[in-house]
Amino acid sequence: MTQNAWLSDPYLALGAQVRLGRNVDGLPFGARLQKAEALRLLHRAEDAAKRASGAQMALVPLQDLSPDCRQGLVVQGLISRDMEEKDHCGLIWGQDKSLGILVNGEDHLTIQAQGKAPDLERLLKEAMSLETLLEESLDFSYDPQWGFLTQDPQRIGTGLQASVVLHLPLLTRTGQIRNVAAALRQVGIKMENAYGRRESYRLLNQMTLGMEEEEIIHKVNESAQEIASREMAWRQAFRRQHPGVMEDRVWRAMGIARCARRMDWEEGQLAVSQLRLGASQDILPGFSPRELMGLEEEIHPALLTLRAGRSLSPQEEEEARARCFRRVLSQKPLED
Amino acid sequence: MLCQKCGKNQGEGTFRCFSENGWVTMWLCPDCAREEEAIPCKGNGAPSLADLLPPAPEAAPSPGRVCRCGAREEEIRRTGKPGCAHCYETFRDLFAPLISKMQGDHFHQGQVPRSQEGQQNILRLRRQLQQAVKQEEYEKAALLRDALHQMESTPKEGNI
Repeated sequence: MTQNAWLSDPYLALGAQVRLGRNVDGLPFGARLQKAEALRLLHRAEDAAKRASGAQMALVPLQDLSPDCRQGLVVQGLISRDMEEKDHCGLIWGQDKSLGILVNGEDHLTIQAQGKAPDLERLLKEAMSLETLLEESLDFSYDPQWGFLTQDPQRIGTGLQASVVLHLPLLTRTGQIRNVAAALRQVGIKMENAYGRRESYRLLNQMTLGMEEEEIIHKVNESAQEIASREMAWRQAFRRQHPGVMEDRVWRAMGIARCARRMDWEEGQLAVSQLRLGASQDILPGFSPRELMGLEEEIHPALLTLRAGRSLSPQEEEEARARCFRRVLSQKPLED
Repeated sequence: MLCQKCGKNQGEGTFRCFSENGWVTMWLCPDCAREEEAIPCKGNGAPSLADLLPPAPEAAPSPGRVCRCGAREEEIRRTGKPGCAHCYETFRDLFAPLISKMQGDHFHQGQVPRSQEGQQNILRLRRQLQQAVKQEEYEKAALLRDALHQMESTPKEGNI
């Protein structure tokens, strides 16, 4: 596979996201925004979104949701972590949940588009189109020198955060990941742990000022492709130098996950990482990328609680998690 | 002259002390003055009210600039975070070095709101012209100058 094609491997490149931060002129930021102003902003944003989308989008006020439900939205990457416990914030989306607007999160409005890793440019176009339409109803704070004014000066300018999530088990296990993170920092790319996914990382741009949006996308894309190709090189080298070892470890993980009666969250995440590696390397047949992502979300503590409809003790949670694995893996063949 | 209280040490000044007979003036050494909490005399009379009262607190420091959202200069210096978009203008001198450190000495190059397009294009052309002159690319500078002149002399939506 060529270097550019690694991002098309859905077991390696797990997804991409584009966020544009905007603030409404004349309103204060953060805790200075009074409750009444925050509620008015929610409705103004909803009206603007409805006009922009031909009434296809609607507001979900987050305070109407339980804490576990909110955490579930964080797990699915639909809201940012800072919105988990924040008052008077909301999510505006349509049937297609891949395009939405977070209200009163990191900024007054955060336009968010999510999709597959190779589609970063298309996601940017979608987010910017929605932003242009919203501009017809809302005045965004802007400075001729510093561009769009954000609540954190680190996002000033384009207000753009473009990211790709990569699954990098070999770079993690060989200890290379720190060198990778340090090298990325030198070229203006941040590397963060992907929430709820062991051995997976989010690569995103550090700089938001002084570059056009397309330039930022190109930089994130290029960096993700380079890191993805390194991961694949390490996988190939490991299988060449240690024949049979990766197969053994993957099948052991499969066996334990298929039979265990209790599993804590960390162990569950590591199991999914191993299964994903196995599927990517054609060791484990019959695992779709969507299935693995679904399993990853299902085993999250918040989603286990939501499913049970009540709080779970640590033991109940571990048993519920193990049942999820048994249910999904019982259908899978035990031979390669 | 020896201290009037202890009679042993050399006295160093005249002090007012409060005794069972009321306020008295005495020649005291430093140790006795400290022990009696005596007040050094000013002039030749009883201590003034100002001498007797505990020291007044220091006047509060000036709050500095305050943005219309209520954010104070001291807060901006401490947190580096604006209270509203207008803070970037009110405290421009504070944010400029901070943004320069985070993002470099750059100008916005990305998307511009429709209402600002004309003005932003003029600013960009001016910067490009300055750059071209600096790099001695005079032909390019001439073209930029002509484009700038045309833009500035033609009123467009967003320029006003």
